[in-house]
Formats: sequence, structure tokens, C-alpha cells
Amino acid sequence: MSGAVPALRMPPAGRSAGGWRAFVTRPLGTAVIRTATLVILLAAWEWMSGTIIPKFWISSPSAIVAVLAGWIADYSLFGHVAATLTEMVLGYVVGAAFAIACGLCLGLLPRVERITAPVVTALYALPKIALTPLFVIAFGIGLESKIVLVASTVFFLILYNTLDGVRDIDRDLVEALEIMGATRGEVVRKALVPATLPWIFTGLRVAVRYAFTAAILGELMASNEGIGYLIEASAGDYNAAGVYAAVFVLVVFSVLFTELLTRTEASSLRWRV
Amino acid sequence: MSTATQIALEGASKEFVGRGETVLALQPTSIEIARERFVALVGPSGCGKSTVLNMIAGLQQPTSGRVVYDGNPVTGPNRQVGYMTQKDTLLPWRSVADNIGLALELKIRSTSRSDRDNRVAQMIELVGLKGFERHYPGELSGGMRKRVSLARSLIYEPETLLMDEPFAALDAQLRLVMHDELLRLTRLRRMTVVFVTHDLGEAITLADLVVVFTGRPGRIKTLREIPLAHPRDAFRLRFSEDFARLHEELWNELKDEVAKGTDR
Repeated sequence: MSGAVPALRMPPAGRSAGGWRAFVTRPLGTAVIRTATLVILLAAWEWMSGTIIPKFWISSPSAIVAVLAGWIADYSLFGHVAATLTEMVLGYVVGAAFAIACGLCLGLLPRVERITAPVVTALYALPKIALTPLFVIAFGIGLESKIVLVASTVFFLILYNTLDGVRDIDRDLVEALEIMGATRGEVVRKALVPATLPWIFTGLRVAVRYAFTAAILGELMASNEGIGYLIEASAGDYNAAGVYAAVFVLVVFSVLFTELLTRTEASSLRWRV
Repeated sequence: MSTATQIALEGASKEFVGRGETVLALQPTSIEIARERFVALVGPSGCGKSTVLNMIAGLQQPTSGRVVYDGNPVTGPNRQVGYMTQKDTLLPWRSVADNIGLALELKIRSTSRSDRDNRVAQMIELVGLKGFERHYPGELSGGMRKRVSLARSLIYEPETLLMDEPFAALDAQLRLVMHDELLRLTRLRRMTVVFVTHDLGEAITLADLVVVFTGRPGRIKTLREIPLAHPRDAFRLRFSEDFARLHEELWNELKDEVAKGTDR
């Protein structure tokens, strides 16, 4: 029987140790496979459109590219992108600035915070989008109503994060500074603000998405320019390619914003190991 | 002794309320600590030694009696003292060097940038943290963080230094080096020191006066003057006959309390 016992099987010759696996995990390999997948999916979409599923529903990559090229050629895309970005950036900056200031103040004045808490909570819980018609009545269908909508959305998100950060601060750090002889202002500058910063950053990062969403939703409801308006207007014309093209522009910008914030945060908070 | 009283506890006691129960941590205690003295508080865990430091620092108020510093009752954070607490209070977003220099950045001390940098560098050298200036506290070991805390409280040379087991986390050799430096520096700067420790040898090496506390609820059991002459050599002192005799004597005072503490 001993002669029949097979020797331990060696890895089959000719297949170098993990050639395929090594290729997939290398950065270049990953990039190649990603691109290939994308190309295959787009090709499948192009082929299905008009053969299996009517073009009316899913349009086709070539049609979308054509629409995008048209928007770029007649410069109309830039106006819409600029409108959405203006609403978003202005609303975001205004909302965030007020939120951080109010958060730090309320954190320093716990009594005021306790008094205002129910109102703040109620306003926070309210979906701000429901106020859009009100903002449109007050500020018109132009940029202003969207700026207010974005600002009010962003405000509460960041306010809560800032407040949590202030509440979370280690009392012992504050006492240590006080014994060293720090003034109230120095305690705020050297302990309170830096300790709250990571919380504020988290709020800021989360708020970017909400700001973008609020701007688009505001435009979808009532507007005459912006990416949201492009979607709404294209849908009104039963132009699926236009809707997809506008959505594609949206995707590009949301990825850009997220990436930008992740990098800012990483560089300013190096101490968080 | 002609020097005036720097710190006085006048019947100060402390109760804590937790889970609906009132726990007496420190019985009414009175003690006077003269200027420029080095006083060590020893006793079993939970005997209220740290509470005494917290009350002198003004972070806790006595339940009865009062604490007087420089003739004035302590009612809020006491800015005449440097306090090295048991838990380190390093700012996690500041590097080692910036943590150590913190006190010198404050308005009441207004130190020039170059002066501050020099003193920080000296302190870093002193506590053996050269090469770690740009590290953050989160990247350091427990012993290293202790040394940063120590440097941070020594650098601004407060007239009184409160220390709560500052060297417990250090290895034996480094502890001796730190003892030597602390003796040299506090005598040079004529500081008053109140030092909490579990280590009798450490207390005898450093202190002019050792205060032995009973187990909880703590009260002062014995005061023992340490008549060893200055300057002391932290490395050799512990081999002297006087040291052994004092150690024996204090241990006899302490051992019953420690035994009581572990019975429960």
C-alpha cells in the first residue's frame, strides 16, 4: 500500500506563484480592471438601449455624451453649475459660520443652552425641505431661497456637532490650564476650540452632502437655473439623456467635495493617531 | 522655624456623595506647611491624600473647615501652585515640546519665543525626552507622558508644587535621576512641595517632613521630620544607616494601616 500513497501534490508547474492575483492587487492592475469593467458596462448599456429596452427609458451613453457636449458647446452647463455651486457654497459658509459661533457660545453658556434646547431640537427635527415653499415666497425662485434653504439645513447639523464637542471636553484639561493661570479667553483658545475642532470637522464634512442635496432639492421644486433645474427641465421634456447627463454632473461634484474635505481634515488633525 | 506658613489645612474634611451614599474620605485634618518645605504624604490607597492636594489646588472644596494659602482661603483654582495630577492632562493635539511650553505661552508669564524655546529644550533634556519633541502624547508610552507632565509643571517654576505620585510609572533608574533633579531644582528655586507617594523610600529621600495617613476615612497618624542633611544624594542616601532607621520606623507606622486597607 505504501507505494500507492501519492506524494504531496506540488503546485502545478507553469502557473507562476499567483501571477493573476499579483496583477489584480497591483495599482496598475486595479486601474486596468476598473476601466475594463466600466467599458464593458457602458458597452452593454449602449447595446441594450433600443434593442432590449426602449431608448425612451434608459437613453444610451452616446446620447448622454452628446447632450453633455451640447451643453458644454453652448456654455449653458457652466451657468447651471455656477448657480448650484453659488447656492451651495454661500449657504454652506453662512450656515456653518453661524453654527460654529452659536455652538461655541451655547457650549460656554450652559444655562442659555438649557433654555433654548427645546426650540433648537424642534427646528432640528423639522425637515427643512418642507420650508422650501415658504422660502420661495419670502425670497423668490432665484438663488436667495436656495441659499437660505442650504444655510438652515447646514446650520443645525454643525450646531449639534459643535455642541457635542464642547460638552465632551475633558474638564481636567480646563482645570489644568486654570491652575497654570490661563484666562477664560486662553482656556477657550488653547483647550476648548482645539478640542472641539474634530467634532466641527465631522459636522462640516457630513454637511457638505446635505448642502448639495438641499441645493438640488430646492432647484427641483422651484427654480430657473441650476443642475436641479436641468434635471427637472429635461424630465419635463421626456429627455432621459438630459436627466442622466445632469445626474452625471452631480456625481462628479459630490465626489470632488467629499475628497476635498477628507484631505483637509487629514492634514489639520495630524495628532489623532 | 522662622519661615511663615505657606499652606494650612484648618479642620478640613471631605465627603463624597455617590450612589446616594455619603462617604467620608478625609476626617477633619489640620496641618501647617511652612514655606520652602518638602512634605511627603504617605498612606494606604483611598486615604484622602489626593483629596488634600485637590483642596490645596482649589479644585475641590472641603466639606467642613478650610484651606488657607498664603493667608487667604482657597475658594477657586489656586494659581500659585503647579499641580501634577495622577492622571495626565496633556493636550492631545499639541506636540511634546508645545505641551511643555504651554504655561510660558500664557499672558501672566509673557515669555519671548526664543526664551521659551530655550527653556523647553532644557526641560526636554532634563526629563530625557530628546528626539521626541515633535511627537504627540498619543504616540508616547505611559512613562514618557508622565515625564512630559513633570516637565510641564516644572518649567514655569511655580512657588508651590503639588505632585500626585509623579514617578510611579517610571523605571527605577530614571526615578532616581528624577529624584536628584527634583531635589536640586526645588531647592534652587526655593519651592514648597507637597508630594503624594506610596513609596516610603521615595518619601524619605525627598522630604523634610513625612506625613503618614491612616486608612479611609483618612486622618493624620504621624508627622515625622526627616533630619537628613541637604544636599542629599538620591543615589547613595538609601544605603545609609539613618535612611534604614527612618524607613523601619515609618514602615512600622504604615504597615497596620496598609493591612487594615487590604482586609476589607
